[in-house]
Amino acid sequence: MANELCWAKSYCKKYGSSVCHQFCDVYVLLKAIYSQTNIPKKYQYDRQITPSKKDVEAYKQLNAWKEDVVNKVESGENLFIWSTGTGNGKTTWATKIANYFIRKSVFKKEIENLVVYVNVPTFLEQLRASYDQKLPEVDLLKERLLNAKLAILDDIGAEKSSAWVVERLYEIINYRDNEMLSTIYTSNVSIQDLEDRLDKRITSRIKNSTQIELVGQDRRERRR
Amino acid sequence: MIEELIINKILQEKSLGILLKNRISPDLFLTEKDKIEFILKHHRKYGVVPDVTTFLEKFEDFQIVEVTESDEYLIYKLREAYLYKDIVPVLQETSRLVREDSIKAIQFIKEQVSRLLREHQVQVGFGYDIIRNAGDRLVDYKRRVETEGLLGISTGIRQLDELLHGWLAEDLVVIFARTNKGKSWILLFFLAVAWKLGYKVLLYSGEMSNIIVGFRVDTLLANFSNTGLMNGSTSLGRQGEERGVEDYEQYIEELQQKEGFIVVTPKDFGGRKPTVSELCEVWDYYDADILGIDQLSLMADERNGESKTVRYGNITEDLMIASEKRQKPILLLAQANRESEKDKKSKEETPELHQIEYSDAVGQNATRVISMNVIDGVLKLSIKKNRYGVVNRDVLLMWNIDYGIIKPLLDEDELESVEEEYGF
Repeated sequence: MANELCWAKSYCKKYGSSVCHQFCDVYVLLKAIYSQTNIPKKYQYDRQITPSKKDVEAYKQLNAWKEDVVNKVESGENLFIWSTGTGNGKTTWATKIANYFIRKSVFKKEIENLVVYVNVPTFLEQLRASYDQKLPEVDLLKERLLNAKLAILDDIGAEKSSAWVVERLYEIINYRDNEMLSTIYTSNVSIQDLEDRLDKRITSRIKNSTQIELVGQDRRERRR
Repeated sequence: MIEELIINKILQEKSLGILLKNRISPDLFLTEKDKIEFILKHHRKYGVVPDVTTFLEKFEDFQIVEVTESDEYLIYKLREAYLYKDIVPVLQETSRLVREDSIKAIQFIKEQVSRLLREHQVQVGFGYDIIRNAGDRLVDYKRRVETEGLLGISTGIRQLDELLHGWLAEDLVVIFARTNKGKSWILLFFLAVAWKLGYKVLLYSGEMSNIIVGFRVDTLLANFSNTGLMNGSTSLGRQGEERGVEDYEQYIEELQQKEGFIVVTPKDFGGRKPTVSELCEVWDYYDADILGIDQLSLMADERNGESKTVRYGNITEDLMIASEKRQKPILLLAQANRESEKDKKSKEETPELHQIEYSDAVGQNATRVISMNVIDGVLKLSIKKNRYGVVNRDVLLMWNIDYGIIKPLLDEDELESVEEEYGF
């Protein structure tokens, strides 16, 4: 038997055994956890990623962060993965780390407020739409974003900046910073450039992150 | 004479207050029980005490007199007279035992006096010497050792039994959740477990019919797909499991040989919500070991409280007394209030004690309060009040109500070894 839907299929020693079915305790817990993460489906499962030569060192650093993610989250540390190029693994790495954190947390039986992912420009659009028309799912996502032990703010800096955007982002980032909740940011700009687009109040709270730059070429391009 | 005086007082005041405030049951009336039962029946049916004319039509020889005595005096004398009836045979037996063995006689009378005090709820100010009576605790402790802490009816979930020691005598357990979280299912699960263990079960189902409750119990007892049963499907097994009409027939055949899971609905009470007394009549008739109530808002307050808060307080107080009197547990479902629905921050978490609908008195009257929440196939039970143990502890359960699978997720004792075994 093999539960093809299981998030742990790439590492679970029980995968394919007689206990690998939809009533497996671990599968049921993972299902409850992932249903709250908002991580896009394709990033929920383990994705192999090969660095270009220029990124070998950065990958090593990212892997080290991943291996130590439980402690990093415990102490409220942040990670800023950035690259001016696209398609070189920022989102993949952010979600790889989050998936690993879930793997390490599932046996602690914590299922609430563990991990949440948002693509910043999309989330801000949703948030804006929810002002005109009540969207409970957006309120819920925002609550999760405020309270999750580990949050991914993907593609920060790609949103069209405005005073409204700055205030909304400040509210979230400041709250998480005060509560010492761990955040992984990905961006197409450096923190210095982010300051020009957003606000010093925001970037001063991101600056304490471990900053890792990826410089390799677009993997999606490489595949073509 | 004292019984006549109390009846006169009820008729005079046109109120059952003296009975309700003092928790007096008709059984305490030795000579005038038929008259007090007539008054109670009339009150249940018409919502008021019968007037003197109506009463005299039924009991023409009854003497109407003006009563000026205080309630306290009347109740004291009533209880005293009732106790007299019970204590005489005890004293006679003690007297016989004294002639044989005075130590045995003392032990006998001590036990009997404790029993009588408990049964009659006589308020005496003698206190209890916890030093001199330390032996009682040793007996109690040994019982706990013997049962590994499980003192009451098992909940069916080991972690929950460890925290609650089972459903205990004198237990009024309130289980509450927001709407559509499956409260009825969890109540049925606990009752089905009790029934399987051999206890007689009584359920008041305020909304679901006997048939629907029955199908759900079948699902919980034998894991037949509930959707399948409800839709009349011939496929009743899990994925890859062949179970159909014949399997269900066989299960029903075996089940019919047994008994002891009684369901009452508003139909049994003339199509309206029952009061606690009415429900207790059924409870006593069947002598059930555990009572489940689905749910508080579908019960009626016999004291006709002026607001929902007062009515819910009255009902839970009456239930608490009913449980104490019978020394049997009650599991009561209640709704979380609107505030908990609005409270965005806690929307995904189990609701808090203050979030029981019209809550203050409900929470106070309960011996234990369990809050529940379901997150995509996982049920989280949180103990919010526990008169006899720890609070704010959570238990996670697999929650597949289609197949009636409600079981603990990852056994606490084996967590580390299981984690290694799975390679996490």
